[in-house]
Amino acid sequence: MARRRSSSNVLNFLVMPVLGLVMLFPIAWMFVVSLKSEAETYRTPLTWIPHEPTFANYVSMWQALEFARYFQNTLIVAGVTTLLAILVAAPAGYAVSRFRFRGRDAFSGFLLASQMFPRVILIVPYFITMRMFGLVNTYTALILIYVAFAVPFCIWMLRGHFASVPVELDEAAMLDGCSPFQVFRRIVLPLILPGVVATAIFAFLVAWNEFLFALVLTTDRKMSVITVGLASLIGEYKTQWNELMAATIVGSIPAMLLYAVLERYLVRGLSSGATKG
Amino acid sequence: MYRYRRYAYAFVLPAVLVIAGTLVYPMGQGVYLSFMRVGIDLATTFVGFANYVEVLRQPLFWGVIGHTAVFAVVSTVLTLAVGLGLALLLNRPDLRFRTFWRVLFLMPWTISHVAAGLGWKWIFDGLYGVANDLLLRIGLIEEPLMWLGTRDLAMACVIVANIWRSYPFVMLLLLAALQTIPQEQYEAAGVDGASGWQRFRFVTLPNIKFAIFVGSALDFIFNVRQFDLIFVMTRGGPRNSTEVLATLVNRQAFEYFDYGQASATAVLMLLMLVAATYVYRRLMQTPVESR
Amino acid sequence: MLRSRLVRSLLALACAAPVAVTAQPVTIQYMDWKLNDSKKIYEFYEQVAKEFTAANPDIKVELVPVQWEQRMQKLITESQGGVPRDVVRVTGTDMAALFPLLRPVDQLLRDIGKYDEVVKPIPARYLADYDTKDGKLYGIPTYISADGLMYNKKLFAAAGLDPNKPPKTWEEFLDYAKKLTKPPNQYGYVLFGAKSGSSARRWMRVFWDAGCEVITRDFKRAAFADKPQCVAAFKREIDFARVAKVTPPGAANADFEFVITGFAQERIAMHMGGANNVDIANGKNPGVGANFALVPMPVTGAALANGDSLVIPAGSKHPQQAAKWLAHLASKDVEVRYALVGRSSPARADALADPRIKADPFLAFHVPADALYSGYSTPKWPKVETVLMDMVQASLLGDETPEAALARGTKEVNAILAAP
Repeated sequence: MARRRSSSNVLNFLVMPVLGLVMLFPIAWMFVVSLKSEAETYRTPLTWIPHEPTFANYVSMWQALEFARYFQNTLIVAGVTTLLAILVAAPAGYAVSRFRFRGRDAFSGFLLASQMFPRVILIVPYFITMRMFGLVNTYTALILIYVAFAVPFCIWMLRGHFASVPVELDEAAMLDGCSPFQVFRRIVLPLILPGVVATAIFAFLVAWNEFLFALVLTTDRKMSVITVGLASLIGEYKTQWNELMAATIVGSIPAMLLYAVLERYLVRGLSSGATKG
Repeated sequence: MYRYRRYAYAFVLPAVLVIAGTLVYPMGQGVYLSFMRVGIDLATTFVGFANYVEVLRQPLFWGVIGHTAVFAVVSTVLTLAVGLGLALLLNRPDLRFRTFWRVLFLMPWTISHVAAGLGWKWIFDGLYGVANDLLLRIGLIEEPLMWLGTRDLAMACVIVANIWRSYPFVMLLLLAALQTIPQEQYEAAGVDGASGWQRFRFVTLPNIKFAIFVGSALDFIFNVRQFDLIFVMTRGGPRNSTEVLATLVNRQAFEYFDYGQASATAVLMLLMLVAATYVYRRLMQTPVESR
Repeated sequence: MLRSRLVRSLLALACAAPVAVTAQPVTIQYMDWKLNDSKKIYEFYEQVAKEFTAANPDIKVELVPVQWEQRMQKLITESQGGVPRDVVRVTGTDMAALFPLLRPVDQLLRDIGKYDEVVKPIPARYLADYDTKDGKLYGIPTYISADGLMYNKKLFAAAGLDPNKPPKTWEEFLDYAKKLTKPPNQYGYVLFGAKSGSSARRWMRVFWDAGCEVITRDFKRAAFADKPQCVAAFKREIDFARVAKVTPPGAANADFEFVITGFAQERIAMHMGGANNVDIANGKNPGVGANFALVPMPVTGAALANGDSLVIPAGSKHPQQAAKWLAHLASKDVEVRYALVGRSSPARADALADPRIKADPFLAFHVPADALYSGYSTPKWPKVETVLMDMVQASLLGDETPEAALARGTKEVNAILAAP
């Protein structure tokens, strides 16, 4: 027992802080740079703690970019993408994991193959198609594309989680008179909630971080998303490092908050009771 | 289960519709253009396999395949190691401030590739970079290194940045998989007096094997496709040493305006990825497949 | 008969309606990366657009900023999708690839009666070399500038050199550079080794200065190793980094950002640059621009005539209105005012002669016409540029001797130019 406690202490007071420091160093450094004036950024020797810390970069970045607007656009696009992707991918992942049906292997293989094509080649066909349907500058265009990007991966991610639930459970439920859809919706899906949440976070971040298609398919600045706004700080002759770092940090906050809220579902407990039966 | 087979089609139909409706046409267009000479105004002339021959004949192409393989394989293996290690740590029942740590380690994922690439480029800057400053201060190096201006170092730098940006995905996927391992299995192993390693080897690993397969396969695909991070950090240089397939396709399409060749390269890339994934899947012999 | 006439006139009335609609104010879009890069320039164009609409109440102008990196992708994708903007800024070197997507502007300018006013004052050679294809004019240059030797007078004085006597020969140049080099904090000179257009033009001039071409002007074959002095000039530049070590380390990765930052921090004493560098340096280190001076590069001062062109994409729905806006931007008054804000030399001779331009030592800087070279306006240039910069990097990294790099590059460039 004493050994256990000491290993806990090593974990909590040595391993995690050190790892945290290493992994977060780049972000910490971005934060330091975001607090520096432009002149101090280029001063050598480097200052690890800004001599004259300033929030001016946050103010100017906020004024230069319509950040509130970008946040709104990005949240709508990423939020709807997440919902749709899970709605579409969860039943498909269940089917691929549970049913042996004709074309199953071809289908799951095609899912992966569809994501192996370099995106740059798809831009022009997408633009032409979206324009044909009058969808340029709409949330719909971005959502459609991001759902298409996220769904194949989501199916694969969910498939693994479904596989961890014993098939006997489904069979027992069906003997009790549940339809396959009820088994999926009421019995199996709740069991893999951590997996669903992880997949939802993935889908959200696919949409949150995408840049190329957002850039090409939004020709009106009002429809810009965060990544496009960030890129506008990179110019022909000059990159606004401090503002860029400030904007990067602010831009990642909503995604962090969302994850902090969802994290509670990433826990054991829901499954353990049920699988005993 | 087999009685309900026909339900399978109803379950996969929405996914099929979404993918067919949004991906098949653009991909088909890409394959079609790979057999054409394509003008900047999209005027096309059929040229058969000429684009493929042209691409395969360039010595650069084979070098690029090598760089892509090094970048993707090293990134995937190390990302898996980091992601698995952190997932196991974050899953320990005696971890305090669990939410705090979990949110903290996810942070790199919330930063876009462009921003992450710029951040790392700045860290590795020869004159104003903190990497040099740190190593000089602790005396590991005598004079500043030109990280992104030196061939092998540049590749190492983009790999480090890439691992940093991608481990949270693998970590999250494995963390979720760890949650679904029934506690009873550990309890049973505990009774048998299993050591920590044995618990991992005989209980944890078999349970997350499929998640490891999915995580590393998807991460591999992300890595082969990686463009923004590399382009921002090195633009494929110095001397093409970090030029990978994705940056090459971009160069052909948007620097040389040669959509035919870019599409041909893209199709070749697709074929190679499909082959690599197939081999990997056979190697993994995933337990689910036998079901 | 009467009835059919009635029907016809009704039809005519119905058809007239859309004509009436087109007489309504039209909004045209102007896409330009300068709008994204500088608040000052954005506000300037806002003002110009306001004045333009006051004079042409039926045309409104919407300003569309675009990121520098994505400017070509945006223009091409939107053109291919059939919805391009009406007036777009592109670089002179972009033009060669873009012709199929553009609408000739000469006829449009004649239609609105502005041809002579817009085109006449611009150097004919520049128009011919960059903006003309098959006898038709597709773009109007908005500025033409050339690089010179930009140096820091304060560092000159500190090294015991006369700030008013920049080096005139390459021997003198090397001597100065050595005196100005105090590693690791200060270097006399800098080479642009990273692959980019702004690096390439600085290497092109090395060959021009030696009396050579990069590729022949009929774009048939490589010419950078034609004469011994071409090879010698290239080797001389490489030796600044590898032998004399008067440039900061990491030259193979040095891009404009790296150079201008070092120059602004007064860690680099001399570099090749233009008028706009002063403002950019001031942004990084306020007031430092007061120490700078700009003179022609030794020995001949050869430099690329470098500028941007304004174009009208073929798919523009309002070409007439677009041409009016383009003509307004290319007028003398707007060019002079733009030059003062955007810190670049006007393309028009009459604007260059304006007292407001002449009063500014950096804007008034110009390279004599016989030392001013045009770029190679062929769609294959981007590939040639890749080889050029690869030769530079190979030599800088020591993979190959400069001679070997040029020999290999000659083969590669010849293959590129011979391909269909």
